[in-house]
Amino acid sequence: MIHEAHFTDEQLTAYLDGEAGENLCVAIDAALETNDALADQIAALDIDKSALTTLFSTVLDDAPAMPDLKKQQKQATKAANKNVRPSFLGSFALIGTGIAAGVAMMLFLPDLLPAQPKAPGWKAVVASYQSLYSNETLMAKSPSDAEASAQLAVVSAALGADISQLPQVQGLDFKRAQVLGFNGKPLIQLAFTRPDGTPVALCIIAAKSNDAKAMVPETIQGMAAASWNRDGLAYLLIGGDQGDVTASEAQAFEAWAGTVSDT
Amino acid sequence: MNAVFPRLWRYCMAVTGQRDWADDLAQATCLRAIEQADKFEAGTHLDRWMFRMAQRVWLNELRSRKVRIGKGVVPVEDVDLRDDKPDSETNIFARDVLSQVNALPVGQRQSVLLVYVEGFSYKEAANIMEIPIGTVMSRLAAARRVIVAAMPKDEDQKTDAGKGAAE
Repeated sequence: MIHEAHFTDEQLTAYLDGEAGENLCVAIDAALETNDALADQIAALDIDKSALTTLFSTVLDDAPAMPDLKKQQKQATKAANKNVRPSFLGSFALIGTGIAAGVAMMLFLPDLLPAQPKAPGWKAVVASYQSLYSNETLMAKSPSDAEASAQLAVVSAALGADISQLPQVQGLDFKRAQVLGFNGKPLIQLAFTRPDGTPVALCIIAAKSNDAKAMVPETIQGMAAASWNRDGLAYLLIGGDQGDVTASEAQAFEAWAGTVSDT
Repeated sequence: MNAVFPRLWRYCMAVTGQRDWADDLAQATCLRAIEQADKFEAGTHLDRWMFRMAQRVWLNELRSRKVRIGKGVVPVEDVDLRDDKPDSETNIFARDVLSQVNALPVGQRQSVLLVYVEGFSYKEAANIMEIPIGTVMSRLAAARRVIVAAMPKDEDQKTDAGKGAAE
């Protein structure tokens, strides 16, 4: 009777990661010659690490700017002098403040000087604006087809992209299109309401690049939102607190975004 | 420190599971690093030193504030995945995998990030998390099964099968 060697997932993981000892590697290699079940066991643990690395490299893009630590230290020191219960951040800064920290700051300061607090992005600004909308804000708005077309023509011209063929998205009633501005760029706001009066806005602004970005649902300032990039335009749908509803509406708009062309 | 900061923040995302906590933790870690700069040994790795520091700062914070982080589930929207590829299938795949990894228990998530993304050895990852190497191994084995389920099998993709130390 042939007794097949058994390896734990931990051993096989170490083997796959190049962390197994020589004896274990030899044993696994030998067992693989005859043991199909072992091959299956390894396949069940086999991942594409390079894909994982690539995937997580995209997360780095979302890292905030290096904080202004000098300012944070001053705030922490003030809090300490006032004997105030420090915040999450301040609680760490209070440890060892004084001469040692001063010396440390001198060591690291040249590295820190270029850092500035990150200005809020356009999505955060839009969210702040949208948070002011109540169910009554758009109640009186009910543009005729001609009025809607005229408004969409105006915002299309400002944006430099023809967004006049707006789709009829289930559950959304078009209320208004207007040109706002962010950092000197036109920011288009298309306002809708849901049957229960919930205000929802689709905002569009020129993106920093032509790179596409698939729709990502998110929550901004407590509101359900979804954003995506397409053909040099950045889109944000925001309003209400029902993430699934917003995501569903966003999917319809995302499909439409593929048809938007330059004016 | 500027160069390390984005990676530190990404690790803080894995540790805390939330963007706002990651922001605070990364910042607090930098402050702590400045204060303890005299303890940093020249010639050693700043990233590992700061990652370990982030771990300690976070554990202290949890103890002091009794922050409950549950299973550490992070919806992908909190990670705000960027993907510059127009292929929607690729985007969906990426979102699914990232969501699965972010939904791992915090220890597994940390281990995956340190070993498979950052490229640290088991020993280095164990030192950063201040846990035994065997625990790192267990966490990775458990995480692998979840990730395998999330990753579509593609013959063109290079996987690590048969890449044991014997090769």
